[in-house]
Amino acid sequence: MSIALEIQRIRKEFPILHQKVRGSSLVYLDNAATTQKPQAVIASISAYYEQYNSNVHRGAHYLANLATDAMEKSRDTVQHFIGASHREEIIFTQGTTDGINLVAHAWAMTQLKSGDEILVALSEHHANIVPWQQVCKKTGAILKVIPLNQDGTWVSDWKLHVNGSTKLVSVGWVSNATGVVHPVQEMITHAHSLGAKVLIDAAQAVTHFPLQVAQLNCDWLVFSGHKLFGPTGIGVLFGKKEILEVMEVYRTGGEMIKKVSFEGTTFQEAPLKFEAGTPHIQGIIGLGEAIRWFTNMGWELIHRIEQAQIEWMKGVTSAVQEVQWIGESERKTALYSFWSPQFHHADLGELLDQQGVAIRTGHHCTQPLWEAWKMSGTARASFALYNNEEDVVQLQKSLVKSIQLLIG
Amino acid sequence: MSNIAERQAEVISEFQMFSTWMEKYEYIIELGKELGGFPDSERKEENIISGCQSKVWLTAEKRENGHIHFQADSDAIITKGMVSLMLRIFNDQPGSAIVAADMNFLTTIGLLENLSQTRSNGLAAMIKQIKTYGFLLQ
Repeated sequence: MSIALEIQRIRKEFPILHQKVRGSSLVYLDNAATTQKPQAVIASISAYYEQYNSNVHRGAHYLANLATDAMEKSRDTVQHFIGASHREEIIFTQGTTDGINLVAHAWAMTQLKSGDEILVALSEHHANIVPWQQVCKKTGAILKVIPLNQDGTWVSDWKLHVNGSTKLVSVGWVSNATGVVHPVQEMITHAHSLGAKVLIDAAQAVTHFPLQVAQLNCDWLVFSGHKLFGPTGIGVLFGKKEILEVMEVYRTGGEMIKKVSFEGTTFQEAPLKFEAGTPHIQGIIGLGEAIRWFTNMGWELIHRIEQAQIEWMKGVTSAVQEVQWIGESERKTALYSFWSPQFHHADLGELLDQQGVAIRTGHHCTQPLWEAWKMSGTARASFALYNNEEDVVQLQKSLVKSIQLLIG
Repeated sequence: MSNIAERQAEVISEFQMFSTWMEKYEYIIELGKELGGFPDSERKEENIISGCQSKVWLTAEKRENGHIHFQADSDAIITKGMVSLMLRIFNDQPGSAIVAADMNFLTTIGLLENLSQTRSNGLAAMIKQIKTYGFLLQ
């Protein structure tokens, strides 16, 4: 089937895409912020509430068993999707930010000491900076930063930033600001050789290539459901079994407890140890369905679509020379960040919005990057499986029109 | 010199000539480009209106005739056009009239419906600051 037909088939599954915005067909290019949801995911959440809503794990009745089964089936789905060796290594979180905070509190706060180093890169999302700053404040550890080349890649001597004092490396696989793909496999191998643990922020990677955590050998990996065609408020923390065992509890109460007495309380094993309170059941079920839906597409088609989008966008980046395209590295996803010193990105975003084109403008929660590059932020168009050639044509047309208005 | 209500009526009749969003924006951008004369020395933190996605600077001074003179600027051209439009309505008017001014004309010219949430919040913050100055410098 041709790419156009494949995408057309996929688009049919997303009810939200078939609407007009201010008189124009919606062109949704803000997928790095959140993706839209296919009918199957929406239906799975409705089905949960219509047919088997119930609290999980403890209920001694039919519906509770259905809900528990559905939730635990999602855990299996996640395990297979990310290639983890054990289902106990899959912890449901509220999202990427929550997963990083969990590791910061349950591991770093108690394991790190004064003089230890935590290493991140300049392009990290605030969610992968601020929790570590808090850890440093409490423990006396030091936050170190890998600088970037102008094309958004890590500097070539990034290995030198890992040393004997480095206890944790926490890096984004794909930058949400530039779309640049970083060499995390090499980083994991290198950091381990020096005794550091590695956390991978896969929020922007999860829809672009298979994660395969066991093979990567990362110690933790985090991502969000809502950037993977699933619901908001649900995410995944993968952690190696032996590390999860030594991690402290983070939030307490609910199903994470084994026995409570006023003399002392004992806790469940992972993953329940880290899942306090009633879980986000509908989110977990929706995430499982989203992964099944996504996996059914197959990586071959997913890559073919992204390659086509990148090809179409080459036309736009070469035609629209009034803006500077950021992070034009060879290894990147279909995410395009651009700016011009001649106008404010907020103006550009607003004019595109008037033409039905949804993009994001601003600092994308990576302020240190823009500070280093002496920019206030960018406009960002980010693609997902349902973006077709018409979207690209509409983006270009609207861009040209907007730029003309702003500087013409 | 015309009062606030008369100036608003003028803006309303100007906007009635536009039939598309594009024409309105073109006009606002034009207003933005024309607005100048903001002194660099006033481009400081305490003159920034918070609540806008782009930066907006606003200063106010009471002139001898008791009227308030505003100066404003923005780093984004659409915002700057909005600021310019606001100054056209409110500049060199008595504080009491600024405080009392009805802002319904914004709905009449159909600007609000086109504005994004962050932009209309920014516009609201701008108006609030102008009215605050109107109150303080009465």
